[in-house]
Parts: sequence; C-alpha cells; structure tokens
Amino acid sequence: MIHNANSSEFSFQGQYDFCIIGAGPAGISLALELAKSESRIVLLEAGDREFTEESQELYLGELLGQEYADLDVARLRYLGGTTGHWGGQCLRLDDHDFETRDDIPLCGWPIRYDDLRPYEKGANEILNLTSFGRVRRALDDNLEVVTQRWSADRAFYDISNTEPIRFGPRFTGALETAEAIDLVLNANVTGVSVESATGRILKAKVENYGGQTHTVQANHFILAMGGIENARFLLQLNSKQNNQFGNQGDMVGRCFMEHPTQHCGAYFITRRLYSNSRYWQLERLLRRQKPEKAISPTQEFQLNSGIMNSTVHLDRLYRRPLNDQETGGSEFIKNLEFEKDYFFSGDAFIVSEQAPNPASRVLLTEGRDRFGQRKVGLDWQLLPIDTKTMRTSIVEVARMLIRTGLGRMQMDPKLWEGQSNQAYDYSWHHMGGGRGCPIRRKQELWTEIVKFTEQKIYTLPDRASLLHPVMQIQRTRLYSSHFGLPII
Amino acid sequence: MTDQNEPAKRITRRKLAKLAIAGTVIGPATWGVALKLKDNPLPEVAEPHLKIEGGWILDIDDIFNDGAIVNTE
Repeated sequence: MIHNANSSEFSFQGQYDFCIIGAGPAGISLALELAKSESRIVLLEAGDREFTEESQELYLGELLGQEYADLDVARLRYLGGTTGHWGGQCLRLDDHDFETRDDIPLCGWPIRYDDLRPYEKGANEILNLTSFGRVRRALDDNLEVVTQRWSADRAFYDISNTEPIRFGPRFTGALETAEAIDLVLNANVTGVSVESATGRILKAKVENYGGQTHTVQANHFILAMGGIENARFLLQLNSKQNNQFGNQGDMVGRCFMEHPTQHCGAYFITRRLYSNSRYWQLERLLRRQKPEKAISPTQEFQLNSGIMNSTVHLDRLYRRPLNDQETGGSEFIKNLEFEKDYFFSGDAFIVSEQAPNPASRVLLTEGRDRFGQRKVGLDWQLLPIDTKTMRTSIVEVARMLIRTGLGRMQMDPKLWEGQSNQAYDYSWHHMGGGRGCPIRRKQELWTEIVKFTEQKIYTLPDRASLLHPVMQIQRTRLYSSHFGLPII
Repeated sequence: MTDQNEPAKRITRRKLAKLAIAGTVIGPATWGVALKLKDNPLPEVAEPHLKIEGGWILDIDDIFNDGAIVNTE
C-alpha cells in the first residue's frame, strides 16, 4: 500500500516489525524481500513519487574540500532515490579489491567477494541483468553483458551497460500491491526516541511538508538513505546520544570516498598486428565501439607500486589524424615514421580507487534545514597516493604502447608532475561515510552490526546507489541473512 | 531452338555465380594483403625512457629536433 503523509487522513497503524528509512534501491529491495515473510514493514520516503522542489532542497549542503558537484544535484530525493538519474552502468569489483593491505591504512573489506556471490543471482534479477560479468551478449534490446576477454597482464573489466532501472516507476506497482508493506511518501524522519536503559530505538518522529508530525513504532529501524544521509543521520543521533550509535571511534562520516576521474587526452595507434597475441586482441578491441575497454593494473603491480586499483578507459579508435591542437603543438608525430593515412586515434580517461582517508568526511554544519536538522557538509579530500595511482596507471599504459610499438598517449602535465592540489572530476558515487569503526577484519564488522542489532538500528550499504547497485543489494542480503532476518 | 539454348544459359549463369563468389573471396583477401603491406608499426622500445612533451608521454628517442626534454622519468 502506498500512503501520503501530506494527507490529512494519514496516520501510522500499530507496531511494525521493520521501519526502513529511505526508498531508494536498497530500501525498496529490502522491503520487497522482507515482504515475503510474515513481517509488517513500513518504508519511509522523504520525497514524493516524482521530483519536488520542497523535498530536493533538503539535500542542499556545503562543500568544504575538493571541487565537487552540489549535493542537491548529485542526489535525488524522491521515490527510487538517485536511480532516477543513474546511468545504468554496473561494474563487478575485482576479488582483490576486498583484501586488506598493510601499506594502506584502513584498507580492505571484512568480507570477500565469495561472501557475496550467493546473492549475485538475486541482485541481477532486480536489475534485469543476467550473466553479470560474463561473455558479452545481447539479453534484450536494452541490455548487453560484457565479457572479461583476458586478464594475463592487464585485465579488462566486466562492464554491463543496462537500461537503467528507475526503482521508483519500476517497483511502484509491486509496492502498491504488497499488503505487508506500507510505503509512506513525504515522510521525513526528524528524530528518534531512544530507551535510555538499553539504548534501543523505540520509535521515530516523522514530519510531512504541512507541519504535521506523526510517530512510527517498529522493532527494527534500518537506514537506507545513501552514503551521505546515513552518515548525517547517525552523526545527528550520536551528537545527542553520546556517540553510542557506532561512533565510539569517531569514524562515522569519515573515509568518504569518490572515484577520482581525469581525462587523459588522446591516444593513437599506428600499427595493425597480424600475429595472434594479447596486443593483437587489444588492437582489435580498440577498433570496436563495444565492449567498453579499460586497462587496469594487476594486483601485483598495484602492490609493488604502492597504488590503488584503477581503470584507464580507452575509447574507440577512429581512422583520423590528430589536429595541431590535439598534438599540443608538438612536432614529434612528424618525426615518427608511419603511413599518414594509417593512423587511428581516440580519447582516454582514468577512473581510480581512492585510499581510505579519515580527513575526507561527511560532517554536520551549523546551518539548519526547514525541520531544524543540521545541514550536511562534505569535505572530500585526496591523499598523495591517489594522485600517484592515477599517474602511475596512465604512465604504465603509455609505457606498454611505446614498448610494443603500438602508439603513444597523452596525460595532463600537472598529473605527470605529481601535483596533488588540483581539481579532479568525480563520479557521484558517495562511498565510505557510513563505516562505524576502522574495520579490518570480518569479526569487527559483525561486532559492529551486532551492536546495532542490539539497538535495533541497522545501516544498509552506502556503496552503490549508482555504480554498484548489485553490490549494494548483495550486501543487504548478506548482512540480513547473517542475522537471521527473513531474507531469501 | 529454345531447348538448345537453355543449357548454354544455365552455364552462363553458373559461371557468373562462380565469378561473383570468387569476387567476394578474392576482393577482401586482396584488400587484406594490401592492408598488410601498409602495416607500418612504430619501432618497439624494450626499455622506454619516458618524458612528457606537449602533454604526450613519449620515449626519449621520439624527439629529434624540437622541444626541450621536461622532467625525464
């Protein structure tokens, strides 16, 4: 059933088993899973079915660090959440992305991809994906799956370009007919009631846009508001509750991460290879529109070079010479000996992982929104290793092109110089702000979640409303099943 | 007259078909050979000595005449 908190007749009816705050991909997926059990679920969405100014302006925030997208632009505050402008790209993480590294503080996951694998199929179904990360083939008119061609030296990533699933319109029908779910629109959670003896959350205060207040009671409260709002909610809660909600180590909101991105410029290839080699395969792929092609450093190279993971994306090559502007006025191309009409060029850009950095954080500012809640600030910071990751990765790809005689490649001279104080592009991925402690081992994660479990409040994975919805849904299911919640 | 001419017509069509098939095979093959002849790789560099110029990551031997070498790796 779908209700509207703005309606004068609206009120919450009785006690719920689960109260999910946030109807984005995580909240909707979880509600529909929980509805398969005997549970009563209330799903609170602060926005309406469609975009409204009065809801969206509550996402306004202050940017305090690296140049970044305005926070009311990078996110959407209505049913379906930020999937409303999601590009539709899904990318499978490498297995080694989960591993702890001694040279990178706070790095690593408490789980492995194998822990998530059992939930891959179900997550794929929600996103209308099949064979995620397998051979590229057309599923239907809107979906293609990309193979991992080879990975001996540098791996091609598995990239699935889907018809983006807008969780709002896609699941409105299911939410409408689900008797176990009460989806309440225009329901802003502006406070919670905590039992002083146990620290448990008993009920939440919900306000609509007409100044009316309601109270919802539930056995479990689940935060599914995204990487920035989950952190904001927990920071506000902890500021009034002596940091007992996972913030004893002052880690809530810290280690906010993005995917720093930079356009490299052009690259060119002058050579057609006829021997069946890895480079021949690369050269053939680079002439194709699809699949998307990315070159990534191996795990061993990352470890030896002290860098994070990255992907250097090489756009399709076209048979065309570079103009003077693209050559940067350099005469070197004239000095290279090759047939001028046998010259293929394209664009390249890099997307890299960011190392965990406690100084990069979501925080509360002094400003207040219309509900009296403290506004959010984002202080996105980069470390020298992040610049090094981008520089080293691009240089390594360029070195490969030179070594094999395939061609040459550009990069930003500032990045070559290693200047770390420059602006980079970004991917609106909002990762990391929800961690409650410097997680290093699996047991610590479970301990943290058990603590939340005792308090009847959970945070859903912040990663992925955009790039990794599969990951987000997988993790939601993993965590839920670990604690015996009725998740299939 | 008609009956005597028909075998000759069939043979002509068959020949034409063969020619067409031969064309579709030989044409691209010839084109491929031509492409191969135009293959013009840059020299391989076992140990590139990298530098940047005009935003390009180059081997030091790429420059003969112009440009100062900047921040050689």
